Amino acid sequence: MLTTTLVDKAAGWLERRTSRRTFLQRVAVVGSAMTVSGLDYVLRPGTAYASVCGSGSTCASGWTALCCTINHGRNQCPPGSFAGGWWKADGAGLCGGSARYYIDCHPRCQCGCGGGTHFCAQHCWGCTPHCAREGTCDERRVCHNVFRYGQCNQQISCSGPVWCRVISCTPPWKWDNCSASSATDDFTRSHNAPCLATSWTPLQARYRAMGSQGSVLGASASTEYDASRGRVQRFVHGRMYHSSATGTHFLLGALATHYVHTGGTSGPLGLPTGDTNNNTDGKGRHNFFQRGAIYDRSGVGTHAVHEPIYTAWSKTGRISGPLGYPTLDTTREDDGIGWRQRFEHGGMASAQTSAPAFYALDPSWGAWRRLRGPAGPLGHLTSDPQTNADELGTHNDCEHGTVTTSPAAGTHGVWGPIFTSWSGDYDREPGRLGHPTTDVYVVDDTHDRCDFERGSLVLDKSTGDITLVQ
Amino acid sequence: MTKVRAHGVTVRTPDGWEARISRRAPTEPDEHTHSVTHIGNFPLPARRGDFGSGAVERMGRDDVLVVLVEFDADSAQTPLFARRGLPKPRVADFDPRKLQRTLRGQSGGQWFFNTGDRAFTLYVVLGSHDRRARLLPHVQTVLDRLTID
Repeated sequence: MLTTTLVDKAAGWLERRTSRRTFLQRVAVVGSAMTVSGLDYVLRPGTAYASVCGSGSTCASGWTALCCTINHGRNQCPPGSFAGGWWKADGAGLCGGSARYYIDCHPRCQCGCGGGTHFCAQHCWGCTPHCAREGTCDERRVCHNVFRYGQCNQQISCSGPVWCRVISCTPPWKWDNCSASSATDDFTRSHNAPCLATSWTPLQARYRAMGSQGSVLGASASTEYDASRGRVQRFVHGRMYHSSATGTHFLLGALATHYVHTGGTSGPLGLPTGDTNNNTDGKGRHNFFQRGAIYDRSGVGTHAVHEPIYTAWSKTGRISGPLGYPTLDTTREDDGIGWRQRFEHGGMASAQTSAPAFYALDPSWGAWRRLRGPAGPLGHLTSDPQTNADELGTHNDCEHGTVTTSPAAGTHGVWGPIFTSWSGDYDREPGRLGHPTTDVYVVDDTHDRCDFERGSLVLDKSTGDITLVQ
Repeated sequence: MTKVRAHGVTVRTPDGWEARISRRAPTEPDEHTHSVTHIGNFPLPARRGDFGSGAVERMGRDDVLVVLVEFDADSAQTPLFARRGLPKPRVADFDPRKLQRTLRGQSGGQWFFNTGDRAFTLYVVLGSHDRRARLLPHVQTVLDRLTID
């Protein structure tokens, strides 16, 4: 209650001096400042933004900067350094009231220590002492303090100074080469930076439950921030999303990258509804979303399937069904109305977003696309594959005809008046003419023709008459 | 002179010095806690970090803080703790950057060592780097009166 009141008063002070948009942004900063620094923020002079970094954030304060400030946002030891030790601050609000851990990263010495000392000379450090001047409030020292906590990587007896500090809500002995021999310093509880989470949220709680840096996500690579819908945080190996409607779920590697490529939370997939999981065939991974899925498998790539294709593909058994893995993303037809998608063993298409989707297997799918799909003479697919009545092959019906395939006659499209005659007068594949051996083709300006196993049908386009040629 | 003894560490402090030997209760599962010894020639605040936070900010130019932190016994066998026996700091060992928190004017030094079956780090903070030669004998006096079982 005290915190809420103080935030309200601080925000009110800001409101009188700012526009509404700026005001709303600053309220968020004030809230973060209160969470990180608590009464320190209220009682000490300084800006809310500076208080996001907690106490002792200036260079002169003598503390070491956080690694994310100087390591491209990554909350992990910079390349060329190792964890040399750690301490904790108990009762940390930024870790949900549990201990918060600080892991010192030290540069590996490029020459020896000598003389029984544990620290090498400065010319061996591989980093340069300076104050963090990265444009944030974390202006603490970098590569400066020659000190070591000592619980980690004790096989390394010679090191440089503390390069920077990694922060974690999970004990470092669970995810790095450290012992559980603890050291405590509650004075550093509020030390923070804008590149780290500034409050304890469902997303932070999930990350800790997964093991923080020891999880499949690895170290954080950004703070948590607003997405178009929900909240998101970037990690070295993926991303994690949260919304009250869908919960908190992570995406790994190429799946996370591809999700962003498709538009992320504002794209056609919506928010993730599950974590990255292994595919049922054990050959890749996938994520489910509100309106689709992304599948990844080596050799096939990473592709999104969304509505109106997704529900129909799900009914076929997804990757275990006849179509197999998606090999391209769900794509608009050239008419800008319909949808289509290529899979390993065929494809699926829908006339429009609200229309049902149908699939065709290779080689029928290939034939339909070769005949210009919905823009061609066959029009949209109107059925899934159907076994031919003679049980020799299959066909997919379309708006204006059919694509039929059989081992002996091949795969061909039949449409228009010739299709009407072949199906109505000659009983299609099991009938007197048998399977088509060509597509309908143009003979001359006034005649189209289609050849079948036991005859041909010729259309006189000037009269509409169909003639059987045997 | 005051004798303080706890957790296998004994300190006989000169007059005007304070010593605290403590061992924190674990707050997390699997956490190991060990002895932490703080010795100073100035009033030690009740609330201190294991390496002297809360105390070093109060140090004057003639003040000295000696910190002895123990680690898991297994660590005694590692290269970092290979040095045997309590170190004898020299003036040349001290540097204004050899501090957990570098505060203007102060100086520090740190050593890892073992006593056979126990592993420690000795950390010394001097209130003034410029006066290190004058302050070091005080440190040595205290270390001479410190024993580890």
